[in-house]
Amino acid sequence: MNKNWRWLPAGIVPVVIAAAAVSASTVAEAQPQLPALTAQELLEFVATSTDDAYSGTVEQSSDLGLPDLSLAAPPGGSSGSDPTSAALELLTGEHTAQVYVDGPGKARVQLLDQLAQRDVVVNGDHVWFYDSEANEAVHAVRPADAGEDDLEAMLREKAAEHPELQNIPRTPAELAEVFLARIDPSTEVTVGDTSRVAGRSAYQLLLTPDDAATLIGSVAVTVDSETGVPLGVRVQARGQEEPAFSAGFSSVDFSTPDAGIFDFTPPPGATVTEASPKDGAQHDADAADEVRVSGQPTVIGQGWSTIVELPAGSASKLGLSTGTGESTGMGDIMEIEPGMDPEEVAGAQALLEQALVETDGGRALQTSLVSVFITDDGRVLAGAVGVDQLVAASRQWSNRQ
Amino acid sequence: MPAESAATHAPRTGGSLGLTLVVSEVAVLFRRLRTWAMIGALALIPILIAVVVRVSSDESSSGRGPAFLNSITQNGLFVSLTALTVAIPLFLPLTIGVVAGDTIAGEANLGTLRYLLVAPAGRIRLLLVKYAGAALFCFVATLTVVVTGAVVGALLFPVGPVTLLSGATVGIPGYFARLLLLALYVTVSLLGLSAIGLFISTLTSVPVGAMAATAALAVIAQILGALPQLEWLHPWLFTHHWLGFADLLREPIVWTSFADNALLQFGYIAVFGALAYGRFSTKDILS
Repeated sequence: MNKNWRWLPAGIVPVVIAAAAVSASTVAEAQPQLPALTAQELLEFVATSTDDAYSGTVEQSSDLGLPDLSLAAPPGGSSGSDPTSAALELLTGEHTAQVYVDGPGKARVQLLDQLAQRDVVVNGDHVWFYDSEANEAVHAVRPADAGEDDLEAMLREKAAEHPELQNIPRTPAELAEVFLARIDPSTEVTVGDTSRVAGRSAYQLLLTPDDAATLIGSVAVTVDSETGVPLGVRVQARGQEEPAFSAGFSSVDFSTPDAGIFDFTPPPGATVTEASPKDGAQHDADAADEVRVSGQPTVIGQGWSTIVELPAGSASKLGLSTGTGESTGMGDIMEIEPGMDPEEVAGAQALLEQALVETDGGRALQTSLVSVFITDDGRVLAGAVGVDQLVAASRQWSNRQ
Repeated sequence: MPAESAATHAPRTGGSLGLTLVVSEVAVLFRRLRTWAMIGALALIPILIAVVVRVSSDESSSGRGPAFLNSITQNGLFVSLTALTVAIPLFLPLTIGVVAGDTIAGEANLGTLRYLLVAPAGRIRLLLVKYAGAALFCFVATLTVVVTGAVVGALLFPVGPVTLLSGATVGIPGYFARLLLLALYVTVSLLGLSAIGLFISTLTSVPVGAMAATAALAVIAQILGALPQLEWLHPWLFTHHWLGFADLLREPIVWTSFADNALLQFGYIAVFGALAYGRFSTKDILS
């Protein structure tokens, strides 16, 4: 008696699963038909989207050519305990965040760590950071007369004081803003193929720097075809096939999130730090001291290949060996550009300690998107360019001084 | 020990034969000393954690150790979560391996398998009944860890509203609803492993071999899951969502990992269920 047909299900089931997996990915890749827009129209479309309310899940991944250190992290994550490894972890791994946005005044980003969570809640004038692992909350109130820029500056300042709270990924819209702000006459802005992102039909805005020096090959921003909300950002590094950095919605819902989500009350037992105006003034004084010691950063070049140089003594001042600063999220790394905060460069230092390579005239770190060069006399240069550019810039400027 | 086998309990009547078989299988499973020993061992995990934290007033360890450990002194209800985090990678798979690996191979080893099949049970039904027993054990094992943790925590530490990962707090009833969901999540997580154990169990008549192989697979899958070079493989590993239970402790609850996990485990059940059927229905039962 032939019983072999009884093995049939065992053959069929894997085939069905494979077919389902393949068809799911082809559906996702289908190109929707959308009315054509020029690049200018698309940019204006994005600008109209700031009042929108939506929520969704954002996936972020980066491939900067740094070794993956997630193996070294103990289960449960080490985000709060060791800032250095937290920074590296954010730069090398994959991350998921829940994002809730209701117009410009209300936003909540929840970074979903394994068995832990980090939150940023913006509700009108109140800003909260919360880290579940450390059970630490930071509260800041925006002064009544402060504008958007002040809020941004204050957020950055708070983040610098509390490095463990700094690694919150931004919403795709905020990330897109960072790159769109960099568009200069040399940047080629085009409209790419339409695609489906998180089940939505989307336009694609392509920014291609026409600058041989920069490591950034191109930046693609996917834009929801109905609302104009940026759904994803993908940064391509020169000479690397896989995107060096990408963040985008894996699912998104364009209904107004429950207002209660934007209310935050620190849980009992949490360490709460108030960022009162007095503290702010004190901090400003500290910052002024710091500037007196370390001097102002010098900006070399312009556009995408801008290099920022911190004068002699910066390396030790910024705590290269002690690692007082903390590396920022990818979004902040991308902002190494004119007017940057010395503390942001300081942030890069912790990362540097792990990956510095001896180079002619100093030590350097090269990732596929950003390079940092520390000269032997203690100057720090950083930019989205190759190490050789930084070395050349360091010589040029030391000769001139 | 034939007295311990399902053979003596297998009813000969038709009708609700399936249900009766499940009941008798469960009765046999939970009459075993071994089953209770494993449940006792699982219950020891939260007890051990709670007692050690209570006895040592050393604060220097803050920031290290398994997740939620530092919250225990403030709220005893966290003992459940710490214990689950500790039990999921090894202890739970080990006990599930013992139960699932024993399903068919155990009967074959005792020589009771052919008696079971003499009864009008049929091989498919026997597989289903055995699997149902293993699945129930998954739930009981998980619940043991969770409930013991909550009880011991409440005895040794103050309890109160629980802080969720998002910083929001829920009252004790709300927390217990979440704990139940959590136990359900972990149970679902273990169903794939149970199916693998059932299949391995049809391959051999040496139950210890099947048990060891099942438990070892769980460890191997977790090792593969920790290797970044195999990133493409990770979403296909049955262990991939094991620690995703924390998504139920967020506010609002993130359901995606629950759904992904259920789909993944269902895939494993389908594949290894089909394999077990193929093997078991074509096998010559000699013992």
